[in-house]
Amino acid sequence: MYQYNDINQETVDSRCREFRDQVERRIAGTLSESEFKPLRLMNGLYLQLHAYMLRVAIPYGVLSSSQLSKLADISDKYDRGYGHFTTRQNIQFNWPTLEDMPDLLEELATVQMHAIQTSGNCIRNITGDPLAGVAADEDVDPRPICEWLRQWSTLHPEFRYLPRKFKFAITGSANDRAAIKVHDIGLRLRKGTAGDLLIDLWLGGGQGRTPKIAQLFKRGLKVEELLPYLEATLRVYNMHGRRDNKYKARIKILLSEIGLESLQAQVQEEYEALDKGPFANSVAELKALYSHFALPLIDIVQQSGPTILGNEKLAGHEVQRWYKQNTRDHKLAGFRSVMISLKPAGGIPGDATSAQMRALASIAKQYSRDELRVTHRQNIVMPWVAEKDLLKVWQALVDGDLAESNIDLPSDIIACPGMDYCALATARSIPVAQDISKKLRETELQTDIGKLAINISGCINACAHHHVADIGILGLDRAGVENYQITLGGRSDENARVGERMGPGLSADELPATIERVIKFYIKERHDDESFSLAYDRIGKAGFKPAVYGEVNDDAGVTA
Amino acid sequence: MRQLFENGDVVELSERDALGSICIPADTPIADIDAEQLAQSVLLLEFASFADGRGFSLAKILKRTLPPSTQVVATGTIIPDQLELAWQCGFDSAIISEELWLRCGPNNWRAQL
Repeated sequence: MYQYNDINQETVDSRCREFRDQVERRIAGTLSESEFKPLRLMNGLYLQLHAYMLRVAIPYGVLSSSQLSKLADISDKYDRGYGHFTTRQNIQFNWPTLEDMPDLLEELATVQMHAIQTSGNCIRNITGDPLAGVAADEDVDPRPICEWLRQWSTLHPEFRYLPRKFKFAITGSANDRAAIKVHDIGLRLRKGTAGDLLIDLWLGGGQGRTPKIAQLFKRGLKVEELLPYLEATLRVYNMHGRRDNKYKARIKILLSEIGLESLQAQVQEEYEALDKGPFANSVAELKALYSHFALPLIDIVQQSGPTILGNEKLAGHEVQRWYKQNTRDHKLAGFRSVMISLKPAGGIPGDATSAQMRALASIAKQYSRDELRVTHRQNIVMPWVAEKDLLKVWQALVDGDLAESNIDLPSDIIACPGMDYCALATARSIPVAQDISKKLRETELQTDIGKLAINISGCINACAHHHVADIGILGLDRAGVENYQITLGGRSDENARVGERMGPGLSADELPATIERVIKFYIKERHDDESFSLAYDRIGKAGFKPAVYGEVNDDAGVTA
Repeated sequence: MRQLFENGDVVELSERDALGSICIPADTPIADIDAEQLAQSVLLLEFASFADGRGFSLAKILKRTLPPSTQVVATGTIIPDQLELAWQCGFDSAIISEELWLRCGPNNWRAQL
C-alpha cells in the first residue's frame, strides 16, 4: 500500500499545527463559530446531536494493521471504545471533545492518517473498489489512480470552497463494487485495444433528496488528459454552482439545469484553454506510485494447501458456509479475499469495538500482508489471505466475534447513524436495522434468499444509499412520528438505478414484517436464481406493492 | 484598509480605492466582465462571503488572460486561512478592512503571510 513521502507527512503535520492554532483561536474568540465551521469541517469535525463527531479519512478504504491498531487506541483514549465505519469507507468517532482534537489528530498523523477533507464543500475522500488489486475480475488496478487523485485533490487551493461537497469513486472492473454511478464523478478504468489505460468519466450521479444516476460525460480519456480534464470540470462547476440553495448546488443539478451537451462543451473549452504546464510531471508522478501497489512476489506452491471446500472432514461445517459467503476469488492462485461482516445479529451496522479492531489488525498482520480494506457496505476485507491459512483465519475471527457469515445477504444491512447520533436525522435507523436483521435470522430466510441489499437512511440525505438498494428504507418525521418509506428495485452497481417508492410510509413496528413479506413474495415469484432487481423488472411496482402493504394472502404463509 | 502581500508586506491604505482601481464581485461570470474592466492595471475581486470560492477560479482564469502586469487583488470578506489559497490561485495581494484586520487578529493575518 501507499507510504507517505516526506512531503505528504509534512502536509499532514502542518495541517495538525494549523488546526491546533484554529482551535485555539476559536476558544479565544478571534474566530467566530461561523468562520470556524468551514475550517473544522475541512478537518472532518462535525457538531452532532450529543457531541462533536470526527470523521477520519481512509483513502479508497485501504488500511494497514498499524493504522487500525491506532484507531483502536484512539477509540479507547478519546472516545468510548468503538468506531463506526461509513459508506464512504471512512471511520467516525462519536464522542471526542474539541479540546482533545489537536492531540487526536497528531496521533493519527503518526500512522499517516488524517481527517482532511472528510467534510465541507471540497473534494472528499476518494473511494474505490474494496477488492482493488486483488479481484479476479479486474481489468485495471485502480489504486495508483486513486492515490494520484488523492494527492491532486488534497488541499487543492482552488477547490476548497466549492458550491457543495464533491465525491469521486473509482473502479477498474466491469463489476462495479464502488458505486461509481451515484457519485459526482465516477471513473471506470479500462484497457484500450493497445493495452493502454483509458478512463471513462461518469458525471452527475448522487443521492440525497434528488437521486440521479451519473451520465457518461467523457469516454476514453488518456491518462495524461485526466488531471487537466478534472481541473477544467471542477473549475466550470465552481464558477457555475449555486450558492443560494444548498439543495441545488451539487453538480448533478447543474448538469440537469444546463444539459449534458452544454456542460460538456464548457468543460472542453476550459480544458483547451487551461495551462497544462503544471501537469507536466504528473504522469511521471503517477508512474512512481505504481511501485507501492505491485503484486507481491509469492511462492505460489508454498501457498497452496487443502482447500476448505475440498476437505471432506469439513463437510457441512460452519466454515464451509463462511467460505462460500465471506470469501472471494483472487487474482493470485492460492489466495482468497476474506470479507469480515460488521453486521452481527442485533449489532449496529458498521460498528467495531476497539477489541475487534485490534483482533482484525493482528489477524491481518499475520495472514493478510498487514493490509485491510473498508467496504462501502460497511464491512472489512482482508485482501491477501492464502488458502492454506483460511481455517486458522476463520478460527481467529470466531474468537474475535467476527465470523458472521452474511456478506451480501439480507442481514448485511447498510444503516446510517440516524437519530441516535446525527443532527440531520429525522428518524432512527440503527434500531430499525437491528429489528429487521433479527427478524430475518429468526426465520432462517436469508440462506434461501441469496444476495439482497437492504439499506436504511434516517433522513432524506440518504447516507445509507437507500435509493440504490433492492429494498430501501427512508426514515422521515411526520408530525413528530417516525415514518418509513419503502423503495424497491434500486441498485448501485454497473447497472445502477434509483428504486421506486411504493407509497405511504409505515411505522417502525410494521417494518420487520413488511420486509419479510416482500422477501417471501420475491422468493415465491422469482424464476430460478433470478436476482431481486431482475424479478422487480419483470414483475414491476404494481406486482410488488400488495406485498409491501400486506394485501396478499398466499401459500407462503403471508397474512394481511 | 490594509493591503497584504505574499512576501509579508502590510501596507496601510486610507481607502480601498486609493489604488484608483475598480472592484467587481468575485462571483461575476467571466463573460460578464467588460473590456474596460479588463483593461485596468489593478482589478479588485470582492468576496461577498469567505465561503464562496468562485473568486479563486475567477482569478485563475483572469491571470491567464490578462497581461502579466495586471494586478489581481482579493478583497471583501476573506479569512486569514485563505491567503495561501489566494496566492496559489494567482492573486497578487489582498486588501481587507480595518475591522476584519482587527477582528481576525493582526498576528493571525501576519502568520499567513
